[in-house]
Amino acid sequence: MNEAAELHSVIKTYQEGESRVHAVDNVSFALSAGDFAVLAGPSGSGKTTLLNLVGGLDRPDSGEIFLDGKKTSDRTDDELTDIRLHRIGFVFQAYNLVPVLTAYENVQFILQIQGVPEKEHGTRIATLFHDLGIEGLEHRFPPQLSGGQQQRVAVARAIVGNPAVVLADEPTANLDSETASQLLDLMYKMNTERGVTFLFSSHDPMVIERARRVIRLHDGKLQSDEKRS
Amino acid sequence: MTWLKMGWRNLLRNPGRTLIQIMVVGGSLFLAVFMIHLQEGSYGKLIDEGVRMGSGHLVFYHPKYLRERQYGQLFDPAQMLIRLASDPRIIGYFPRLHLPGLARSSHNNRPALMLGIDFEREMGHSPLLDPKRVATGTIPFGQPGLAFIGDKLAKDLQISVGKKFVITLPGNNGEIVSKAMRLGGTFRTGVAQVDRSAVLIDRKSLAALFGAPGLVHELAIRIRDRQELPALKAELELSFPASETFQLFSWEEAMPEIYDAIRLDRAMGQLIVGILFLIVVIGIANTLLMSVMERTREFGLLRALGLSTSHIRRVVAGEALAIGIAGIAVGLLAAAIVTKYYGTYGLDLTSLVGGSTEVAGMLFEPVIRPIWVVDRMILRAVVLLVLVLLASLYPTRQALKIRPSEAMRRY
Repeated sequence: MNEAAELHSVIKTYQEGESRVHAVDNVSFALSAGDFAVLAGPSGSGKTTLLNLVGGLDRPDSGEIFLDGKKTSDRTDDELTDIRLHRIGFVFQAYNLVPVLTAYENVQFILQIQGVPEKEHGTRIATLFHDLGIEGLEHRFPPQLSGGQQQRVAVARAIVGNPAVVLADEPTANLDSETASQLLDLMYKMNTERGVTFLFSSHDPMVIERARRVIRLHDGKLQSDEKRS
Repeated sequence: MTWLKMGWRNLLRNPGRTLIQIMVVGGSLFLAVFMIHLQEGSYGKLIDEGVRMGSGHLVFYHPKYLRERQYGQLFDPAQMLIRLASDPRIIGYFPRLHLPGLARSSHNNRPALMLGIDFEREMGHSPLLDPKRVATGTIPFGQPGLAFIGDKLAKDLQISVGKKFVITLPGNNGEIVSKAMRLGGTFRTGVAQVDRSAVLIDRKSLAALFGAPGLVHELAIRIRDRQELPALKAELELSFPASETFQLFSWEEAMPEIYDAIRLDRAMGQLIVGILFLIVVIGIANTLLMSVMERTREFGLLRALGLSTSHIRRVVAGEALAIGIAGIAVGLLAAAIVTKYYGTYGLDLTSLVGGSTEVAGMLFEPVIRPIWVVDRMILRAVVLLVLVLLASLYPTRQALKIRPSEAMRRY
């Protein structure tokens, strides 16, 4: 199976006051295309930092990161921006939709800046909205949507550009359990039907339970990597 | 989704601040545009007053007359008068003699400027013959023995209408010549120099006294539309090429004091507008910067999603452009309404300047009608729009410094 993302001996430290914190400490693993994996661990274990490193939002102090077989850890800011646009989808805990754009425009925005021809937008977005159960909400602005609906739009935005991997940072943390469950179902559906690779960070037992692979972190170190059938 | 539309929606998130920004841009453009309209209206009035009182839009003189003002620098206007009579662009042409001399009464004597004019021809053109300015007596049409003089001069000479006084001046042959005149009337312009020295006399009568029948010092031409001036000047220069006895001059050459005053005032206006626009740019840059800093997390998100440097520039520039377009629309609309109103009714500055005023020796009624100057109005709007866009450069630079992971973590 192709590797969607690979990390080799990645280290990331932060200076906090006078002490250095090892947020990610010599972590290596490979994420296969089609994975539905979760980075699990308590708060401060380095989940979000690792997700940011994979997503090119941060650079490692040492080690190498590959995305779709291409090294990203030594790229310039502009190159990383381009990689994020075309190869990575993000889903954030606080949804983070652009508040001045409608649900439809939030998703279309990615296609526009990717340079996808305008005529393709309608069909691609309509299919996604249908699959994610948010048909009819296209013209609503984020404040007019519930948390669950906003997160579905965020998933649509993350997927619409056909990324190599979708990185979801605590995507269910702000949702009630029923809405969280529905969202996970939808993301699982995207994974199985469309082959979208997901890497979550979460300490939500529901997410960990549904994942087909659980990578556990503790104090920035890889504690275990469990693959389920 | 255009960047402009996105910019506009971002601005509507804080309508109060946006309204203030639009009013700042609109207000400054209104001032800049209305100032041009008002300035050009006042220049037009000043030129018109100067042209009517002085040299005309175009004027024939002896080539050295403007510098030397010698009595003998005369020319024969006969051929020119025939040519000018047939041109519909010309609304008046005025042959004149200017002869400095002395006015004497039985009580007093004063230096005076004898102006030989055709009263009938000048009526309706010369402000000295404006019926509203007649102080005593009447304008002496067709009465070559009567003079029409400034009321201060009449007072100095202690003469009244019907009384005799004597004008004395050097004749064309070098001999002193004199003639007794009777006072037909007096005028009051408010310009001290004019009211204290001008003696208006029938031109033919003065030319006969001076000893140069048919000759003049000046042939002033007033035209219907100042826009036609360059073409008409070129045509007349072709018909009457400069010679040893005459040359055609434009009002700018004949009245350099007015021309220079206008140029100086125009330059001052541009300086004021420049300072005004600079203040606007600083204000807009400041509010855009506030707007960017308030949305650090949002810009971090946009960077995380893959918006490049140029995309971020377009986001901020979109907001600046939206402010600029809305502000310019407001400013132009306000300037149009106010220009239209004062263009119709006039802007009366009498209370500010205390009655009629004197500019470069010309009488100036301080009621100004602004006129449209469309090309410079558009130019100032475009310049302001470009400056507002430039004002987005610094906020954009700050937005580009936002690191997505930091922004998402801290804000």
